[in-house]
Amino acid sequence: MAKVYQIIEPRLLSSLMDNYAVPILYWLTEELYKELGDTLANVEMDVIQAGRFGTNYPAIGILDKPLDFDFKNVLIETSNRLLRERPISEIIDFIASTKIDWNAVTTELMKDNFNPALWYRAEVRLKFHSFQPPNDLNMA
Amino acid sequence: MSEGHHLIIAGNLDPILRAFKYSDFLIAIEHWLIQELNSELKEYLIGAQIEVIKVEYIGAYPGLGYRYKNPNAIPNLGPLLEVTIERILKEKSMMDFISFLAAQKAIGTNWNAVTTRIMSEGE
Repeated sequence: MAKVYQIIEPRLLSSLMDNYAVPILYWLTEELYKELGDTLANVEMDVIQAGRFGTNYPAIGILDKPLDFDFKNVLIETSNRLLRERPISEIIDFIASTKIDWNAVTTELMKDNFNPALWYRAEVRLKFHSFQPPNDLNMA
Repeated sequence: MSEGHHLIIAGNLDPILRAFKYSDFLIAIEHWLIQELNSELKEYLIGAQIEVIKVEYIGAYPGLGYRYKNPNAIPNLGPLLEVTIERILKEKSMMDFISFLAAQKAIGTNWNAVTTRIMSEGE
């Protein structure tokens, strides 16, 4: 099943949509889920490969479906606040807690044949939060 | 370890580095820390130099090290550097680090190339 994402680009991260920033994007998505709680209960958000003008880069994507709030503004404002307020030690603790090889994650994410539908089931995503994969997703 | 360097234990960052799951991102954090240390401890670091080095201990990882460039440097900088690193990591925001990354990107820093260069030392 094809998945279409809207890209969320916090202004503060706009110049950093680069491979080395992948852990920051993952940390940010986790914190957005924690910070916004019920507001994001029905929002499927992930770190995906985006493309523009022939350049591919990692970005936060929201699965495109009708939502009953101005999610883009809420997410961008909250992202900007988190980036200004949270200490760098949080991202270090986050990386330590996940025990994930971020080089390998980044390589997989930025492959030429990147497919969001397949990426969703990547173990890196499912390890973190309680968001359940949809029933129609092939988990084989 | 590079000859003449004293190893710095970089707080919470250290175990991640030692786990050998290093990434370009961690290398970037180390370089940002060096910039912050040079700014905050300017007077203490006269005659000393902090660098990201390849540490070889049960494998290899990119660690922070310092060495003295002249004999007049303040001896045993380790404890001061380690306390300051802990404080920087707890006090400085993600935004501070992102500003550093943006500045590095503007001058064309390629973190993957930096990582490769450091981890190729001695090969």
